[in-house]
Amino acid sequence: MIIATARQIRDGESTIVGMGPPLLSAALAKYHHAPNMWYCTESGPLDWTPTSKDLPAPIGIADHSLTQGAAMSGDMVDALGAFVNGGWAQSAVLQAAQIDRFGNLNTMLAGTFEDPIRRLPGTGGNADIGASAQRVISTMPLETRRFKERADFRTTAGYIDGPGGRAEAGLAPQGPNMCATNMCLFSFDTADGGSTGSCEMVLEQLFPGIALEEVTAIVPWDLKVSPGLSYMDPPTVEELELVRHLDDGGNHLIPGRY
Amino acid sequence: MVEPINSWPSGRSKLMTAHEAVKRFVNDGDTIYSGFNIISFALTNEIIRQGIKGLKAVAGSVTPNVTMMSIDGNVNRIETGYLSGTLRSKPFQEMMRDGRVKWNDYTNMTITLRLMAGGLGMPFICANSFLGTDYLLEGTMNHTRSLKEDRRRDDGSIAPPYAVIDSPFDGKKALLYPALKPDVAIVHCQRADEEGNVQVWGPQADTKWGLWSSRNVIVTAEEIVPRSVISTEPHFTVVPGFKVSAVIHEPWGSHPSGLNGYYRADKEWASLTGAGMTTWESAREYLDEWIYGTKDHADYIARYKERFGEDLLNDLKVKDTMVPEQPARYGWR
Repeated sequence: MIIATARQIRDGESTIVGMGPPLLSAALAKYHHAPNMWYCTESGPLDWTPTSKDLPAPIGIADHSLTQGAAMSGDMVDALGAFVNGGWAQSAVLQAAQIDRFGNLNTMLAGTFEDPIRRLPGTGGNADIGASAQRVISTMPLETRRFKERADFRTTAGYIDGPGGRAEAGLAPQGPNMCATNMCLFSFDTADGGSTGSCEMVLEQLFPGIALEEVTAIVPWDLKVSPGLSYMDPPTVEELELVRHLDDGGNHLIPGRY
Repeated sequence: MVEPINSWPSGRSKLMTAHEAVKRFVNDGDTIYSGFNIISFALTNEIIRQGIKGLKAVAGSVTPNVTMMSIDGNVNRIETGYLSGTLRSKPFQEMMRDGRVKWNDYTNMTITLRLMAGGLGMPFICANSFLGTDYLLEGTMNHTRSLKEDRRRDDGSIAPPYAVIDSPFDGKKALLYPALKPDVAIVHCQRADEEGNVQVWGPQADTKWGLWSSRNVIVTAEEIVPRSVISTEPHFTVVPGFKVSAVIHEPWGSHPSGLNGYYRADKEWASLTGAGMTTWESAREYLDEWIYGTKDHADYIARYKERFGEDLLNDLKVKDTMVPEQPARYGWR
């Protein structure tokens, strides 16, 4: 999942990196195939550029190591305000507790406010980023509690209720959005950032050894499958070595999860 | 005549102890800004010691010091975008569930912008963050444990938590959020002078606007430096001295959290002592021993050294610090 997410990050693009596994995925991308990516987090550091091969991936979005080799040490108004809301973030990497059919994310709670099954920390910058980033790469394990027809709470706008949803809500187009899991990679069915197409999640690639039925058994709606469904290239030795090296201290990789 | 913002018998100096500062500037029921990046545990602990009650904590993200202040009801209301680390605490979760802690959810950006609006003297500010999301559902802002009552106006009506309008300029949908003006801000910083010129470096998150928007600002500083240190690097100053009400010299003032360039967060110790407030028992023990049982932050650090030795603390110190390769040179003739 970490590696599948990293592969979606392109060299040379400006990226806002969210809490959790995205910090490791983006670090992997930076060291592996996207050295010219602009690694930025919402608390203010812009363009983290590790100056040493031994520097581990940041643990949080305000990690002290984020100023290593950085171009700017700003604040939230710089990072979430000017950079993201100003429209300059070409991609965003976000984790969430839930995702739904139209790519809306939930980081707020499971259940409802009056009767929560589980309260989560809240949106942080997730909602702010979902509103304005040009493209969102989301990442989370494929589990029934996470993949919902409609998210228990939509903190972060994807394509909302389908085609035209973003425009109707007053938001700019976004995409191509992707969602990387521990079993497969999803895209979304829209060629123009949410105006046309069904805007639904589409199964794009399976991890080697995963059967289509294993995925459809977890996703609770009638999942669209890409006509070009393929298997993802397995992780390379280089990717695996790097990701383990970057997670020095085991802050991101939880055994059996990713 | 305009009242001086802060006038002191000793000229411009605002140096005092945490005890004096909290006594003077923090009152029951105040709205308090404590941001998520540079946390003053020295002031957090003093607020708990003095038994201040019923504070409302606001910040882009609130942090474990707010959990700590919630145990004995020092904080009972929260307005934030993120509960950073606070949900590891069972007592805190329990109090959110039964309404002993009331809250409203915003986002990192919208809270920061609301503080900015407060700092700039604007009544409200605009951001698109809630568009297309469930923040716009009635139950999100007005649930049974929400801060609805805090929004009650003089005429008895309740002010909305935000407003969706059609922009008068281009007709497009726009979202307005009300300004936030906390009564008091608490923050720790790398250095300040005795006038209260506060210098901070590293990711700054919502710090600057938290300080500009608050009526009183209390700062603990790792180092108190002469004015000449401030004025040769004025670009690190986040708010000037006139905006600050009290300056306290507190080495290790962020402990058990970290301070960029000085020390790392003391996670091991936090789990050893129950500083994480994970259960009622461990929270009680921690508060009794480490906060009520110490007279100030220096005493707290002394107890740490006594109990665990100096090595554990020294090990947290940042060893590789960056020094300017070519310092900025200001000049005027």
